[in-house]
Amino acid sequence: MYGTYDYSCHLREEEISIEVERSARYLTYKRVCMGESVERKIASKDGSIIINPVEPLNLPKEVTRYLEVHFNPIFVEPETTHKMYLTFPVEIGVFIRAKEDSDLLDVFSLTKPKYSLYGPPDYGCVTRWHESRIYPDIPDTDPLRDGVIDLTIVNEGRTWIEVSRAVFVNAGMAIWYGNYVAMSARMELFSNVVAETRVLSTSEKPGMTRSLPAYSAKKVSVVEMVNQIPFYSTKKEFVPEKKAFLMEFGLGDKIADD
Amino acid sequence: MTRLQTTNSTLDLTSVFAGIRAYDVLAIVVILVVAVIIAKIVTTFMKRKLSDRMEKYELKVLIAVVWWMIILVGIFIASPHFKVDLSGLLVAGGIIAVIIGFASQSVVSNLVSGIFLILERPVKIGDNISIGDVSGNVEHIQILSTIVRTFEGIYVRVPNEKVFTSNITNFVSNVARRFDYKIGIGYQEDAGRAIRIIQEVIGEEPFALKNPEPSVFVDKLGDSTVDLTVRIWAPSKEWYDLRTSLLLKIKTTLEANGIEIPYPQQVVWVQQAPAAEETRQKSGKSKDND
Repeated sequence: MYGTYDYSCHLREEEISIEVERSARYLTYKRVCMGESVERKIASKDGSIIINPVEPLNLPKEVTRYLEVHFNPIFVEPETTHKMYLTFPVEIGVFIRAKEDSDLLDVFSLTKPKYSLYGPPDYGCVTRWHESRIYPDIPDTDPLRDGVIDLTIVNEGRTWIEVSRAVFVNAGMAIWYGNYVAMSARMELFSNVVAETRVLSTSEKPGMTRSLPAYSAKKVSVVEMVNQIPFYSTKKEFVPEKKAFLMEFGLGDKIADD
Repeated sequence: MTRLQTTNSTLDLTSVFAGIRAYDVLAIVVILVVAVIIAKIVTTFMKRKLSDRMEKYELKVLIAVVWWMIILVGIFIASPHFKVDLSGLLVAGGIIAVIIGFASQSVVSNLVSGIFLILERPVKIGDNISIGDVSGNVEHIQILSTIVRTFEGIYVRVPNEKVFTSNITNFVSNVARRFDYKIGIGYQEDAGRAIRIIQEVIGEEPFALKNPEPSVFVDKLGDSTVDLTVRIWAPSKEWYDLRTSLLLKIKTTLEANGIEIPYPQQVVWVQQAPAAEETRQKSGKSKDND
C-alpha cells in the first residue's frame, strides 16, 4: 500500500480502502479503515497522493511527542554495545503533494493506541505506549501494523544495567519503508535510572524509502542542536528541538520519582 | 537688551558650575557610563528571560521603565559632582512621591504582583484554573490583570494582586491526573468478574493511562450494593472527556454481561409468631361454625 499514486488511485488492502474520486470541480478523497470512514475534498489539478508509515503519535489525537516501547527486562553487561530489534506501532499517513509542497491529508491505523506516563505526574511526560518482544534478528511483521526498531544499546558504565523500556522523542524520527517498516535508534545507558535515547535520522536503509513525517507536515520548524548544546536566543526566530531524550525517571518497570 | 539677558544667563550658568573640576566631570562620565552598562545588562537579561512570557508591547514598556530607573539612580549618584544642592528638589520629590504612592497603591500592587506572576508562572495561557470563585481558562496574563474565560464563556478580568494572593488551583499544571468512579453492583453478582470486565473496558480506552496503572477494587459493602472504586489516570488535557464518556461504557458493558447495578433497596423479613397464628386459625373456625 505504501508508495506514491496519482489521483486515480483505488487501493484496498486488509481492512483499508482508499480511493480518490474526480468530479467536475474538485476531488474527493475517501478512506475506510476498520469501519471508520473519512472523506475530504481536494481542490487540485495535478498532484499526487503519498501513503507512508508515520510516527505513531497522532491518534486518536496528538497529545504527546514521545513513544515508549516496553519489553521484557534485559541485563546489559558493563562497557559493551548490543544490538537488538523491537517492534513499534505504525500509523499510516496520507499526504497530498503538488508543486514541491506536501501536506498531511489523513492519518489512520490498524493498531489500537494506548498512552502511558513516563515519570511522575508533575515532571514526567505522557507517552504512546507499546509492548514489544526482543528479537535477535529482524522479525517478520505486518508493515501496515508494526515497524521494526534496530536499537543499539550502549552501556558505558561499570555496572550491569537492567533495561525494560525505551522512550523516544518524535523530533527527527526517521521512518523507512520497503519490505518492512524500519527505524534506527541508539540508547546510551549512564546508570540504572538514567539513559539517553536518540532516533538516528541519518542512517540510510538500502532498498528502502524514507517516509514523509507527519510531524514536519504539521509545519513545526525543527532546528538541530549544534554539538548537542541547546541554542538560546533573545530573538524568537529559532525554536531549538532536542533530538535526544534523556530518560531520567528509570529504565525499568519501577519508575523513579525525583 | 537681548544681548544683555544672554550675558546674564551665561554668567549664572558659569556661577552654578564654577565649582566643578575635571575630576568631577570624569566621575560624572564614569558613573553615567556604568549606569548605562548596568541598564543594558539588566534589560538584555529581562529580554532573554521574559520575551516568551510577556506580550511584546508590555515587555517594551517594562524595559523602558527599568532602563530609566537605573539611569535616574545613576544621575542621583552623580549629582554631588554637579555641585548642585538637590535638597529642595528631594523634599519636593518626596512629597510628590508620597502623593503618587497613595494614589496608585493598588496599581503598583497589581503591577508588582503581575511581575511576580510572570516570573513564578503558576498559571499559563490556556490553563484550566480556579482562582477564588472564578474558574475557567486563562486567556491572557497582562501586567496588571489576568483575563479568564469561564466555562460558560464569560470574560472575567481578575486583578493580579488577587491572583497572586489567592489560592490558585491549576487543573492542567501536571501532565496527568487521576479521577475516580464509585460503582455499586448487586450482592448476588460476582464482584471479581465485574472487576475484570471494568478493567477490560478501561484497557480499551487510549487515554486511560497504562502507567500509573488503573485500579479497580471492592471499597465498601454498602446497604444495597457492593461498592467498587475505579481509579484511572489520564492526560490532564483529556481527563474530562474521558471521565464523561467512560462511565457510560462501563455501565452498558456491565449490563450487557448481566451484572446488575441495583437501585437502593432494603429486604424486609416478616416473621409470624406460632401462637398468634394458632389464635387466628381458631377464630377463623369459630366464625365458620357461627
